[in-house]
Amino acid sequence: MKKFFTLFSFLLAVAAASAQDVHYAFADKDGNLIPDGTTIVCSEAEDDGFGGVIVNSGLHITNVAAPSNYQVSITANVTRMDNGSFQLCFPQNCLTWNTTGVHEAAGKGPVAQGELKNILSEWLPVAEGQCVATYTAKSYQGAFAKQSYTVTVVFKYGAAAINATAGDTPGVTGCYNLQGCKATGRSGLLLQRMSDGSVRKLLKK
Amino acid sequence: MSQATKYNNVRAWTGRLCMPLAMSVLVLLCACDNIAEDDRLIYEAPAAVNRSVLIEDFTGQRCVNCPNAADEIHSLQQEYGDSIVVAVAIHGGPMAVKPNPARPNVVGLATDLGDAYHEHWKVEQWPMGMVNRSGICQYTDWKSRVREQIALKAPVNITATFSDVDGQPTVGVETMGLAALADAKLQVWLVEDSIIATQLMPDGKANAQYLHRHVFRAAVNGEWGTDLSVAEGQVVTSSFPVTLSEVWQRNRLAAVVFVYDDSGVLQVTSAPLAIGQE
Repeated sequence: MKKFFTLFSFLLAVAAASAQDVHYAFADKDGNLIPDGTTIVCSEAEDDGFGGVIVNSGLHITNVAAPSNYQVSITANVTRMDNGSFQLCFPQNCLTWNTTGVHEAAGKGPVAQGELKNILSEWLPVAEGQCVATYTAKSYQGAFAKQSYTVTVVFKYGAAAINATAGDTPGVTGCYNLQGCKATGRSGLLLQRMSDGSVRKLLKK
Repeated sequence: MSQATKYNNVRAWTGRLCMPLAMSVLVLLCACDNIAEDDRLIYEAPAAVNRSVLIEDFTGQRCVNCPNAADEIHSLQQEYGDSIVVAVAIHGGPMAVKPNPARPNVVGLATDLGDAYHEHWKVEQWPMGMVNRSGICQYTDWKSRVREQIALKAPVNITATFSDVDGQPTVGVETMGLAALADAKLQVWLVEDSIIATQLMPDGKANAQYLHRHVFRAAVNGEWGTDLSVAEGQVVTSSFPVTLSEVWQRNRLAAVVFVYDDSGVLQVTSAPLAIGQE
C-alpha cells in the first residue's frame, strides 16, 4: 500500500511538472530565457547597409519542452510605431508593416528541442522615436493552440527616445534564473525585472 | 529422489527453457518496423527534361531570408544546369532597395517594373517565387515544382541570340511551334548577373559583398511581352532592339526569353550579350 502511494505521488508530481513545462520560450542570442511577460528595451541602432538604421529585437525562439509534433506561431502586436517599418521573419519568410496592429508571422513552424532560432524581427526607423511590440509565441499541436509565451520589446532610436526615462530610477520587482523561475539569494547569471518593465542581466557571485 | 534434488532439477529445466524463451521474445520485440513505401529514403533521380523552367524569384535586399532562396536556385541549377533552370531575381516591394541619386554609394537593385510584378502577383512576403508561373510558392517548394514542370512537353521551341545591328544591340528570337499555339505571349527580359551589392543576411547582418545573381533589369518588349501565335511546324522570327543603361556591365548581361499563356510559362531560354566585349 505504501509503495502504491509512493508511485501515485510520483506520477502526480510528474503530471504536475509536465503541465507546467513551457513549450516554447523567447530567449536572447545566447539562449538565456527571457521570462514570460517581461518587457525589454532595445536601443542599439545598427547601420542597415543602405544608409539607414535598424534596431534589432535580438529575440530568438527556443523549444524548451514542446514535443516533436508541435509547431510554434509568432504574432507581434505593434501598439506604437512613431515612424519607419517593422519586420518579422519567421519561420522562413519575411513580412514588413508600417502600421500598428496585430501582425502575424508567415505561418507556423517547427523548432527542434534545444534549437535556438532567431525570429529576425526589427524596427527600421527613419527618424528618432519609439516602437513598441508585444510578441506572442503560441505552441500548436495540429490546429489546436496549447500554450502561449509573451515578451514586449520597446525599440528606441535617438537620444531623446533613449533618455526619455533617464530621470526615473527603476526598482527591482523580481529576480529570475535562466529557466524563468523566481530566484532568491542564488549565485550565477540572474535576470532582474525592473519596475519600468525592463530586464537586466546580473552575474551574482 | 530428495525434495532438494527435485527442486534443483526443476530449476535447471526452468533455466534451460527461460533463456531461449527470453531470446525469442527479444527477437520478436526487435523485429523491423514495416515502413510505408512513401516513407522510405530512396535515391530520387532527376526527372527527364522535356522543357526548361523559369523561376521568378521575388526578392529584396532588406529581406534576411532571401539569400536562402538564392541558394535553392543555385542548388537546382547545379542539379539540372542553368540552361534548364533559368532564374530571374526580381527585386521589388517594401524590402527591396531602389537606386537613389542621394546615396550613390548604395547599389539598389529594385525597379519600378519589379514593383509592378510584385503587385500583379500579389507578393506580400519574401522570399516567394513562381516556377513556370504555376502559382506563387515558397522556395522550399521549388524543387518539387521544377520536377513537375520539366517533365511536361513544351509546345514551342525558342532560340535566342544577341547581335549587333548597326551598332544597336538586338535580341533575335526564333520560335518554332511543336503544337499549334494561339493567344500566347513572347516576353524578352534583360538580366544582369554577378552584381556585388549589400544584402541583409539570415543572421540579420548586412553583407556589403553579397553576389547577386541574374538580377532583373528591364523588359525589352513591354511589361507583358508581345502577342505570339504559331502553327505546328511554323517558325516565327522577331527581333527586339535593346537600350542599355550605363550602369549595367555589358559582359554580365543576358536576355531571358520565354513564351507564356494563361496556363503558365511554356518554354524559356537565355542568351548572353556577347557583343561589344573586349
